[in-house]
Amino acid sequence: MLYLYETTYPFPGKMDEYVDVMGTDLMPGLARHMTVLGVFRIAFRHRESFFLSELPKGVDSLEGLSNFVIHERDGLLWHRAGLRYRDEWFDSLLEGLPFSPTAAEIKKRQKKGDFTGNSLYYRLIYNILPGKTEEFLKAFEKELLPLDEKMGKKLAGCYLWFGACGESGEIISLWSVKDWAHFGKMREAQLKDPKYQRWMQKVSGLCADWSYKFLLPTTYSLLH
Amino acid sequence: MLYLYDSIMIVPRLQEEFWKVMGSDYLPEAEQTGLRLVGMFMIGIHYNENLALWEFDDWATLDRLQKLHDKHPWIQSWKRESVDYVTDSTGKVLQPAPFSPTLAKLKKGDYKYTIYLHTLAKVLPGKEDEYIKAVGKELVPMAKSWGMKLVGCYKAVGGTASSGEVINIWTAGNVHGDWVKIREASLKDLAYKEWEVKAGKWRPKVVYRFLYGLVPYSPLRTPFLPEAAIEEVRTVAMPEVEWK
Repeated sequence: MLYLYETTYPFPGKMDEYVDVMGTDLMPGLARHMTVLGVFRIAFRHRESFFLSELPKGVDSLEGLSNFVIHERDGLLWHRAGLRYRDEWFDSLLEGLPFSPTAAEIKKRQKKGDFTGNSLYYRLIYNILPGKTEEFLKAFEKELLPLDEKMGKKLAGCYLWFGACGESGEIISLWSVKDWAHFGKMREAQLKDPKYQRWMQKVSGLCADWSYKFLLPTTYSLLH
Repeated sequence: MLYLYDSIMIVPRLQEEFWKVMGSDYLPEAEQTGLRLVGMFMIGIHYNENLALWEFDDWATLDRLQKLHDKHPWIQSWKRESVDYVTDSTGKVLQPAPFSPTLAKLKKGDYKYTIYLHTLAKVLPGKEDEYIKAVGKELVPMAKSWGMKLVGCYKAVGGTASSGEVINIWTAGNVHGDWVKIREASLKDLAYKEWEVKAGKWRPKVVYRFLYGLVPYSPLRTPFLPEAAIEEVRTVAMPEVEWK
């Protein structure tokens, strides 16, 4: 499954208005061509937002997006309207890993209480050492995922860059947590957990480094 | 205890005005959520960048802060007002080392200086705690003998950050001549040479910056600003908000 990953830099002071206008003017058009999974403001960041969509399967996947941007009236309108709010944006494509939940699975799990009612998500990008990707992914799925989910975090997505975008060796993961207080409690518990300490030891040998951003879901985001 | 490290890009020439309005229009509301300002600094060699460092008790403070930013009418006004001054900002959440002084200790002690040294070390994965322990045990006493006091030692654990970020802030005198003397003392210190070799194995890279403590209401600031100036600055913009 392919995913559209967009980082946008709204003008200073325009963040709240920009995400509101995205909800009314962009989302309905995009919904014809893809499932928008999440729209987020970046926590403690004056002018950065992020959205993630799942593209439909098959060759029509990118055609729909191209049509929206190049030919369809609301897509063209948005392209001009968006310039009032932002000066830079970057789109990339991601490929979902086999254990990454799809939009359909996320919607199903929302009925059980996952990926809903959270005020915080975080995106963790691992920079894997050359030749270690397979070993890392195996450990991520078998060791980290059960540990984190048991603590109350939920994996909302895990991806590789697809094709001519992104950087080699990067794995992008997206996690839900209830709020900052919940994140703090889980962090303290994990630091005392010997299994988590073993994971940290292992990941330190497989990665050059990792980076994170904390995300605040908008009211209309599917992941919330 | 936790810290919020907010790097703020200011519109050139409006810096001092921004400090005033931040002191009158944002600081009191932020303090209501449980944030306590440790220092507001101008960053040396990149003069339109400022650093605001805040101390807070627990993670739940950040939930209160987010609610304040999303819902409080004054903060909505502040967000519109700050557009005139701030072009960008990025924040990280920091966890202090066990030996890192708290704001209460900083206020009680002699930590008012004009110049502070800020170091950002990029530590190899899994080596952060080992490195931080060695900073406390070896570098802090060594630096004290050169005339530098540790203001804070932190590792980044949230917000926008990378693994292995360890930030140290030190006092570094009141004029650049003080810093020259500190530097000379460090270069003559054999223990420091040994430390650099040892620490280089944990953190291949360190980025150094000066911080200037020139903001009157900042607890960490130059000792040359009289206490009365704090009141003066805090009241300058008050008539504008008295309609409340």
